[in-house]
Amino acid sequence: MKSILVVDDAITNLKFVESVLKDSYKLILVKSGEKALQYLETNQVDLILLDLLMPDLDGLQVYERIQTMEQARKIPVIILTANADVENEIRCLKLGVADFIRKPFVPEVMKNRIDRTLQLEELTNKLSEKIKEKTAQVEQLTFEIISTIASMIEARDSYTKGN
Amino acid sequence: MEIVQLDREWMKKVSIACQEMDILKADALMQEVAEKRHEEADEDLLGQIREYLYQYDYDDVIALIHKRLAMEEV
Repeated sequence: MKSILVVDDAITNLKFVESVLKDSYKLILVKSGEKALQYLETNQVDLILLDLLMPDLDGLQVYERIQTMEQARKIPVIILTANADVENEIRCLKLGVADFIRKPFVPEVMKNRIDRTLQLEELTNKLSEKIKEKTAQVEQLTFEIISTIASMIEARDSYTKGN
Repeated sequence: MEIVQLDREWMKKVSIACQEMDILKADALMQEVAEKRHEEADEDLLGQIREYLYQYDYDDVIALIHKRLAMEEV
């Protein structure tokens, strides 16, 4: 089962997300950015749902801190935001967040955006693995070609009179 | 009727679930006790844990359980 870390200071939002997603995902629900960062120091998740407007550390600050964590920086982040946060949305997109879910939440929209982001992440990971594999094959072939050419150059036989 | 006491093992399980911030696991443990309640279950402790879990205050649950376990040891 895929795991999702949900960060929102509003308990009603956490309750809502819990009710919508609890049958499909393992959920870690926390009320603050600090708690989320603390969790990510020692645990891995497949996705983070992060509220933008929170006291103390806001969503953007948490996102930036996550980007400095080697073990967590590749986890896709979906930002939970109010309709009016267009400027922040642009900032978030520039920083590289995966997607947005707008409040008030609509269960089907939330599920679909999460599923789509997780699928995209899975495909990206598979593609990266494939690229690594193919790169290694190309390196091996290059080495073999160079070795063969070197052997040919070094070849000495009677036909070439030792040249 | 099966009996589940609010024993040390149960409290430790809830504490671990809270350390893992696993609300679903903690809720399941609470549910287990609610369904199979011991007659002498500590309602105050249960109510307090339930309230903290409702608020996602994991650290408060852990502190409460540690305090209770320490009291039992005395």
